[in-house]
Amino acid sequence: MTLTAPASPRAARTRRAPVDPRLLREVRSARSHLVRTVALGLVQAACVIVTALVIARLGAQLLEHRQLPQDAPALLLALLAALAVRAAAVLVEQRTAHRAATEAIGDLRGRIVAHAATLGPRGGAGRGADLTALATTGIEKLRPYLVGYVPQLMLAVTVTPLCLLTIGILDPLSALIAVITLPLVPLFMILVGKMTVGRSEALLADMRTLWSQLLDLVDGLPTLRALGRERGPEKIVRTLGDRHRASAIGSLTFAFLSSMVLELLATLCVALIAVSIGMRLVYGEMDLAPALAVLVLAPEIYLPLRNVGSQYHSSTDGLAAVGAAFEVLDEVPPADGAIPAPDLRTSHLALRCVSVLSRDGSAPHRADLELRPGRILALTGASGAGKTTAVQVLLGLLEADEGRAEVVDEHGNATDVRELDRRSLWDQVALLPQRPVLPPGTIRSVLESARPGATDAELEEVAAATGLEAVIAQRGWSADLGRSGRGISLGERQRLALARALLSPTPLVVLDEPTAHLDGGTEDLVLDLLRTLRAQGRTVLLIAHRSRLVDVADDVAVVEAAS
Amino acid sequence: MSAAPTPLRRAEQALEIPRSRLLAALLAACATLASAFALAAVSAYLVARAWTMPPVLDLTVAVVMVRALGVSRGVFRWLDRMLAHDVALRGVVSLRTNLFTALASRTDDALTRLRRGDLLARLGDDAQELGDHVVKALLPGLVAVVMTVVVLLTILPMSLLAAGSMLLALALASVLAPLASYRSARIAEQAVLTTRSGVSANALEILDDATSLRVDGRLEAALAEMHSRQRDHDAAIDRAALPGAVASAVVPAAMVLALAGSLLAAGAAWTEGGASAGQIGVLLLLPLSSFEAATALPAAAAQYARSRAAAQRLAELAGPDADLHGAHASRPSPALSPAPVSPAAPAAEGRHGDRSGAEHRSSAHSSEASDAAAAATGPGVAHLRATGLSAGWMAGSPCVQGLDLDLPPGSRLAVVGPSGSGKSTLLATLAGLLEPLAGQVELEDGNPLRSGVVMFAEDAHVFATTLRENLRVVRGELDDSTASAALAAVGLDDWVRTLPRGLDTPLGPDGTTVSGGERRRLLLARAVIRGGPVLLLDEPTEHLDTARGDALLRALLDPADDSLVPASSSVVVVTHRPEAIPAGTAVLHIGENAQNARSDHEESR
Repeated sequence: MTLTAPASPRAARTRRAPVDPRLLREVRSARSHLVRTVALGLVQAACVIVTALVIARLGAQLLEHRQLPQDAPALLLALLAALAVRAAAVLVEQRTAHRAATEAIGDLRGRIVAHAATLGPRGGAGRGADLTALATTGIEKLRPYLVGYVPQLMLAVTVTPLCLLTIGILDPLSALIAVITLPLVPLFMILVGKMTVGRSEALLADMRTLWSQLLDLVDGLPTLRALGRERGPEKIVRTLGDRHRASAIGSLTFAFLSSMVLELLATLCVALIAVSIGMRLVYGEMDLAPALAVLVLAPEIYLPLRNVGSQYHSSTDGLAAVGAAFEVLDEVPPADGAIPAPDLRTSHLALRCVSVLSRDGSAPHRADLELRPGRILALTGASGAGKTTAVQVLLGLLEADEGRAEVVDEHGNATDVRELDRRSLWDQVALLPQRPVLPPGTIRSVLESARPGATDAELEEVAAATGLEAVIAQRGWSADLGRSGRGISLGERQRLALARALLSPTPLVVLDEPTAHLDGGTEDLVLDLLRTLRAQGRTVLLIAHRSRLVDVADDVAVVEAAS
Repeated sequence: MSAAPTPLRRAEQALEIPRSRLLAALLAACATLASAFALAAVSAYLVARAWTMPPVLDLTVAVVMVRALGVSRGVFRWLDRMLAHDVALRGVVSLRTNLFTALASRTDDALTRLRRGDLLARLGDDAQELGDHVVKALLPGLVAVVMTVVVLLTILPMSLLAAGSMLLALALASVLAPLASYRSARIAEQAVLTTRSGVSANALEILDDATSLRVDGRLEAALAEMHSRQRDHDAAIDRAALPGAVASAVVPAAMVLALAGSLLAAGAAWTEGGASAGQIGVLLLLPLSSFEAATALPAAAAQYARSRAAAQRLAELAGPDADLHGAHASRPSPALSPAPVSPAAPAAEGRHGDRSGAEHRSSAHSSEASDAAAAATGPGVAHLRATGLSAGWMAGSPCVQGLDLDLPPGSRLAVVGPSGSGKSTLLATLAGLLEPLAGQVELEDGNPLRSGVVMFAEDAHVFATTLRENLRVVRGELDDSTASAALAAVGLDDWVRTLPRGLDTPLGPDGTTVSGGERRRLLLARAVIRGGPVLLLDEPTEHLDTARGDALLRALLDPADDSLVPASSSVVVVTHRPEAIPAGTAVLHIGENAQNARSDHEESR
């Protein structure tokens, strides 16, 4: 059933080592987990071998000498102890595997989020939904991989060879049978894989398409209902579902062929060994004890391999998650500069012929602007012209593909923004994106964090200027706004963000479409605020669509995209 | 009075799995495990019997059986997995179709109240979870029962003591291990629901708002908060690890009991001379091979926990008394005459076959849908009336209260008000998609509301199919000239000319390859094509440049302008461009905190 949401075809095609070396190198908990599972694998292998030898010995003594098992208490105890130790080893292994997975997941998630945040707007935007999926649910795929697959893999490299070795000592002929059948497993697997590779990939692609069509239809159900057209599509839901099922069964037919090969060889090997031992016993060419021991050990050679095979999906999903995680972590963030930014009250920021490559051309294309201190600059341009991108370049958040952003101090010395210590620049900037992000806390604490030590009078004045009195009257100053201000409406959040900008001492205020999704009343409020900011001697950069905003600006810069 | 079936039982019924298919899958699974068990038994018998050096002919049957069993397991395994997955996949298709039908025919407003992602998660992941339920919980559970009987019946004739200790060991493995595993799964699930959603929310916020957080210097604080939530989650999920580990250790531990009993029994049987050497071999070695079915039970129990949770969510979605079983067959929609299949549909069916074409799906989502419904009311006339209407999402906090509205045929009404004041909520209530908190909305002719009123939501879905099919969503038999005329009326004719394949150009998933302005106009074109007595439009001109948006708004609201809608239709438009509303249009103001909507109908601009 895991096939219904298959990984990307690229992930299926690339061959990976069963354990990603980067995971072991970078994640301590994964490394110690691997060492521990190898050790516990050795313990389990010893238990399996002791169990087989002791049962064989007890059985042979019983049949040959009529010696009861309870008459050899040491052997009986050894047998029960081996089984008990094996159970304990499994317990410890699973318990620690879960903890290792928990640590590894938390570790990687933290690193992915922290690293992606410093990659800048492009590092995130390039991946978008992929990145958020990886950081939330994708990385959780490590758990079945570390808890299920890795221990079985380690048993396959400990139990399988040690059992084979023991059989070889007891009865070389049986070992030979196993040694001959073992390489047939990968051989047949590769053959089956080669036979089916084209077909199963086509089927997987088909399944993905049908699946996304199905989900698209489901997603549109509320729309169909609003249009009064909700009856009828259930037939298409069934048809698409049936076709998806047919593709899925088609690809499973091949997927299960390889598991059949594994099962077939495993049992066939046991059967061949049993018959060979039996025939030699009949002619007295073999003793009973080694015969019984070999019979017990033969299935144990294949058991870990079969378990590894059944955990195949955990391994591909887990490795894909690890691969995606390191793809993010290996990306080098833009370097921070070392030069302290000059005082923005006297210096000005500028774009010089800046172009940033976009999906189909460049946006902005050769943008120029001068942001003069104490003035309001409106940045306009059609949707998709790269207004927000131009601001990101100006603030050193994104590197331009052509041209440069610079800061020119009062003496006319220009410095590339990339060489600036960003913190020293950003400490002079208040940025209000379209969807403002507020710190957690109450209305009062959110405002106070913009100007520590602000008096009540100052806070009230700002609240009045931004039209916050209604909210405050309704909820009070100490109402908790919830996470990122999610407890209040978008309009109220925008007002709070404006109030914070007004309170903050930063010389530069950047407003990205401050009146989008707002009614006329709020637009007037923003216009008043802009004038207040200018009166305070602050510089304002305004991304604006609407003409009323542009009218209040002192300067206007237009950006354009080019294809 | 019989107890109501549990959600899981109802979901199982909605899978509509035929008994014969389930039985076939069960038999194949049992044959697989029985092959391995028999191989162990017969080869133990063979070796022990061979030690007594009988004539070779005496061993022929055993040798042949061992070889046959060596092959049969692999073959049965393949058959078992194919049959099980076929049953499960068929079940999922039925379940999903039944759910879709149940949802579409819900008369209340549950679908409107559903969050967007939830619908996908329920009909996608949760339906899939119930498919897994069949493969990973239901079948392994049944197989374990059958195999327990097989194992005990094999051992019982040889020794009562061995059978007794095996019964005890199997009971331990089949009860204790699944219970521990179930507990572990429940703890983990709870942790995912509570603490992990906190971590995820934090991670999403940081990734979404990284730029602002960095410039504000709040990134470190946000990361620290995420780390602390991650630690909370780690602690919560860690509690699931111990029962999970116990579950995997129970089977090897239970083997101690089975083996001890069986060794003692073998000793007694041999010394008392009641058993053959072959039987002793079987008694000695069989305990090691008797637990394969039980080994699968912890995973089955974990799946059972997931299945129950998924079934619970599906039950909430479908409604308390929805008939999920065969809903699609037994309840034909009242408005649906025998489905008129549009001419384009069969051609599209053919194209599905090849993979390249599959992406450009052409079958109309509703080409087979209720055209009859549209035809019945047609572009006719209807008088919409609301009396004492309160609208809102929660009973305690209506956005609109005590509204009286009278829209005779051909009315035009603009709804304005600040963001978040409940304009869209009012529209959904007028359309009959959201139940009024108080008062009522009705069509004067007594027809059901939804037969005459159509709402065009601002977040309406753009299907991942061609432009043509996205228009056919509202009218199955749509000819090119009507489509082109509608697109021209909303000013999309230039855009369509730039598309590589015109009307047959596929649009991305949920309109992602369409810009905001194009998307709005596409939705408006749907309204133009749909027509109908009462049209409710939510912000149809948002994301358009001012001149073009205002022109469209005027065309919608001017009764004399029938370029978009016929004069006889009533039109309600939500807008936040009050300055563009043509003079003489009735305007409904909805206030931000106002508990009452000023329905100053007479206000003219």
